[in-house]
Amino acid sequence: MKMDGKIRVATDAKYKELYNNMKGNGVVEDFHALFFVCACLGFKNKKMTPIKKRDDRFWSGTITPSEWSCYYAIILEQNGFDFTKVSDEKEIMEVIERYANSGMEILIDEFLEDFLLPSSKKTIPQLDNAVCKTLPKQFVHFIFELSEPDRLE
Amino acid sequence: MSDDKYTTPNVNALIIEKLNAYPKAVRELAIQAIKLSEQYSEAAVADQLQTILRKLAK
Amino acid sequence: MKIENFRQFRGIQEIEFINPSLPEGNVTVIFGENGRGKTGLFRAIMFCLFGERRLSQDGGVSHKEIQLVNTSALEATEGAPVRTSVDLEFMHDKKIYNLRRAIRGMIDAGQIIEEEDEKKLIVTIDGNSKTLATSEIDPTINNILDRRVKDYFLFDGEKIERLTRANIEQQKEISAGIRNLLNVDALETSIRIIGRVAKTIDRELSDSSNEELSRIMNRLSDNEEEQNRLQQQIEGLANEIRLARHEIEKTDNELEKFNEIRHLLERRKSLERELNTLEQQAKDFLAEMRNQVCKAASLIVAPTVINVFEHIEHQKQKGEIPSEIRHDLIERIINEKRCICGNDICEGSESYNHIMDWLKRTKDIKTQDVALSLWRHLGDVRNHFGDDASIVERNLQQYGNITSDIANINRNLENVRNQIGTSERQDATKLEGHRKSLQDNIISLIANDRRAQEQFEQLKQENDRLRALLKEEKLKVGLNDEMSRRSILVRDTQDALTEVYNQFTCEIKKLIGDSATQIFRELLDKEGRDNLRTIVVNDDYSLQVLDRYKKPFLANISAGQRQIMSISIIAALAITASQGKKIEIPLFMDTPFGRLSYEHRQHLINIVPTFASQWVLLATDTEFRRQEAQLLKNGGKWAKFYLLHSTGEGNTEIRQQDIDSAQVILRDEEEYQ
Repeated sequence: MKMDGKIRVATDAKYKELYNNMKGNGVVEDFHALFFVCACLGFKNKKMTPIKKRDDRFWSGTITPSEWSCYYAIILEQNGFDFTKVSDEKEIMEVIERYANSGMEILIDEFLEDFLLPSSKKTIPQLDNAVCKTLPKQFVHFIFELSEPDRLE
Repeated sequence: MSDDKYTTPNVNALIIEKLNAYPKAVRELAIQAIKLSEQYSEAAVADQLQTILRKLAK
Repeated sequence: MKIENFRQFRGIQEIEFINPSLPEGNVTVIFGENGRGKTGLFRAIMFCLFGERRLSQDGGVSHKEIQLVNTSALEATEGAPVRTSVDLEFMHDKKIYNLRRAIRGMIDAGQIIEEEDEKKLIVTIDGNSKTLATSEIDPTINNILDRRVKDYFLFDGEKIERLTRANIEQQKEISAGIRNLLNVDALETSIRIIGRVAKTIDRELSDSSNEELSRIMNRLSDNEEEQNRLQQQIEGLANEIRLARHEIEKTDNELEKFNEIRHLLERRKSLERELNTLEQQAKDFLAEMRNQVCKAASLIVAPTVINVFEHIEHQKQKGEIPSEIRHDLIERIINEKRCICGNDICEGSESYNHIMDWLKRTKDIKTQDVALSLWRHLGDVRNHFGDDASIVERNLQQYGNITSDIANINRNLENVRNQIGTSERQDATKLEGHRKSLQDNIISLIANDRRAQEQFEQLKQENDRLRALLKEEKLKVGLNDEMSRRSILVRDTQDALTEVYNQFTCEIKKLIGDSATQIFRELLDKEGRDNLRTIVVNDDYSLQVLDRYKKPFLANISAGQRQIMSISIIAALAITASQGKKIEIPLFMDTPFGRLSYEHRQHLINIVPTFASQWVLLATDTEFRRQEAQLLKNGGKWAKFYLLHSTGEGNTEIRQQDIDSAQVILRDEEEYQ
């Protein structure tokens, strides 16, 4: 794996504020982590949504090797283990971005909604700081539940 | 501490001694400020200092 | 000293502080109930020396409200003028001074009026006497002792008490004391005035044509105003917090009175402590959670990870990755139509078909590298799944446990609080409610204070930056502009004066600290000396005691040690006021024996006469008993013993007693049980 650090990874512009909030409230350490969660969510639900308004979010240099290997695995599984599909990391990220985009929609629908400022839900989602005191724990809990841990035993 | 009493003239002597460490103009202005403060009202001192200041800043 | 119709002392009465038949004796004991006029004798001396009626203990009482003329004397003359005087004979610097100060008191229209009557000073050197001119009297006396420090020679019980508690009163007492010592009024005033002048010049400068200067100065000015406002706010908040904490302490003390709830109070205290610890742990856990996010998320795609890993693993097993034969080698064989063994290979032959198969199966180098590295990483990820799942699960559980523990404790606390609140006594209920609202208040005050301090700090940094910028600007402009030069000069002068002032106050704080430490260690008993090493006067004029590890220890010292500490500080101030030499003014001390251990008392009795030329002990019968009298006698310095006797109508008579009679007059310790 090359793990190119010079790729600009993007999300939809409307999620910029939310990414900042999630980092600011200590829910995620950094943007790439939240992106990873969203990508996994989107992939699990087999949903890809193209980004309407592209907005750069972070440099691929922050993506960890574990995350990279998951992204590779996703692309390979999706393309019948065709290794040519993982030869260009820029292309890989373009696909993952679409998974992450729909993943974020799912995240908001199924979890974050309760923590957003009501007025912001339809437009530019923002966290309501007043109710986010234990969000870090609840976020991890939500993700963990999704992984159906029993199946792993 | 010196043997001198803590009465006005000698405290000021100590202060003046410490002011020797500063540039001439600063020292001059500071000493005048202290001396005048002992005798005159604040407003009067402020006026006089402005005059001295003008001279020193030329 | 001879006093006439002064305060409670009707008629002419005399008191002598030395005993000709005991030349080394310098201790006088004046014994009497409270209110009989012990402090009155100190007042007499101060009045005679300085014409001063007020003592620092009088607080806000005005000069006029302190009556000196004996009331019953006035009544006896039916309002006709009564003379009140104090004659003092003392020695200083080999000269004998005879000082008299008198006033005349009378009743006029129902009011008591006092007027200055006589002021006389005769100085005798080597047998030659000279009467000074009236105008020379006050300056002469001030030369002997500055009036500002007169109160340092009265160690009254309240002052000693004020200095034992670490609070604003203590700081004010010490800062006032030190300022008096320094006599830096002129310096302080000049700093203030220079500041004014600086502001005026800056205002003029900001009105001038230089835009940049103007902008910076206006900004600075706004910031400084805001800083002042914040400073006041912070001080106000500190005060409020202190008061609230004090209130809580008082409330707790009140609550303690209710025996039945004492154990509840203990329980509440321990629950609150536990709660604090757990809440901190919960906070830490929450912060940890964000490190778990990626681990948990990768579990979502675990099936995919495992699938791809196994696929590559399979290919590895089949020899396809890395391939047993290199892809580029096979390509070459096909192109050259020749095997490595040398045989020709024809298109369409069986060998050819085998080789083409191989070609299809093998991947190129680059792909193989990717696959292998991916296999390695996926292997890693896969290996951690089990552990990661456990870790995340465990953390979630532990956090859950803590929050549930916290909920439990809160419930228990609520319970205990209610019990305290609903105790039979209504007062306890009210007190508990009051306490809770004080605590809530303190929390919000602390938050406000933190915010204000942050803002203040930010402004300070900005101001430092602006001032540097300003100076640069002024310098740039100043080469041609006289006004800028003036502005720079006046600011530099302000800084210089402030630095000098700070140096002074620093030096004297150190001096007082050192002097107090010396006395402190001599007064302490062995155990105290082993542990308590230094008294320090902090920058903010509060006091601290350092232990042998140089750590702050004030909060832990005993009540007796606190008393010793305050006495040491007051003594240090008095000694410094006497320019570091032995104190010549008689030291009047309200006996603090009550709180002190036997050893401490002994030390006090032995040590005070070493730094005070004369020691006047103002004693009441609760603190001065046979035991103390014996200690004094053993010290060999006890010269005089006076009783203040009440003669009715609020008057007091000074009666000299024989020292030996002390054993008879005074009571025994046991009689007090």
